Amino acid sequence: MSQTEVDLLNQLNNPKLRSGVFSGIVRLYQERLYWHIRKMVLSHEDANDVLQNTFMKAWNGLDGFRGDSQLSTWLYRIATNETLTFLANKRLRNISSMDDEENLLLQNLQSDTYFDGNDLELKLQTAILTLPEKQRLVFNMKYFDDITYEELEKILGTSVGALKASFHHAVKKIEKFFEDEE
Amino acid sequence: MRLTSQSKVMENRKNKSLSEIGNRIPFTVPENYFVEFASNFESQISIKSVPIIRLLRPWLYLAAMFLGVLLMSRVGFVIYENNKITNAENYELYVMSQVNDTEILDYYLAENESKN
Repeated sequence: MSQTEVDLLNQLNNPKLRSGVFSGIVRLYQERLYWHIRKMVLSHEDANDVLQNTFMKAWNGLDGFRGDSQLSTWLYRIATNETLTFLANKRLRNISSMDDEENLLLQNLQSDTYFDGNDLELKLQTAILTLPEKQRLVFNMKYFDDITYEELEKILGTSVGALKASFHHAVKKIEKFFEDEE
Repeated sequence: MRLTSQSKVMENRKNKSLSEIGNRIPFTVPENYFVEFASNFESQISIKSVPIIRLLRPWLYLAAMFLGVLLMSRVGFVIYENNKITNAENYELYVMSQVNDTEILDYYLAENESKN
């Protein structure tokens, strides 16, 4: 843990400084966590809700954070869990729908005013949606954010070997998707 | 040898597709979204971190419990008292029903005489 994080944690233990320090943490990590969530849920409104829940969970669970891991790792872990829970709930809500969840996500993406990708980028998002959820997570975090496997291991609780294999398979599937499309 | 070079060409074509696209995130956010998100969240946790409420909450629970117990005992006591009075009245009525008017009159007359 860096000295800045140690200082932050010490300040968080002071009830008078707590909300001010946490607001600083929100400002520091909100963009990174937002994009992490957005790449999974795709819509801005959903990403906003999940980000809100993530920081609220972190705020309410501050007493439980002992500093065993880095603050950023802890926040990423909460954001990931919140995202997966959100997607699972959404899937349950849409269980009666004729389309599967991935198709619905894609339809929403195509009509989303906050999507500014070109045709190739839309195709890539479509290809990513064909991956299983955990593999999507690994692919997004590695491909777009270039997070190290060691860091991914701490966030997702999966071994480096398994993560490498997962990313490799994801890339293969996406390439196959592009080949089939041509 | 030919196969190897063919597979290399295939590999290059495959990799090209992802490298052509690049890793730009193709999403945008509303204007000032992050500035507004941070300040909205800050105002939420400022309201929720009023320490006096948090400190007083257990005492308020205890006081409410104590008042509840007090109220219940008061209600119990009133019911008990009412029952006692009703029982006494019932007993009196019962005793009175066992004697006739002539006997009561004789009793009062005898009592007046003994006083005089």
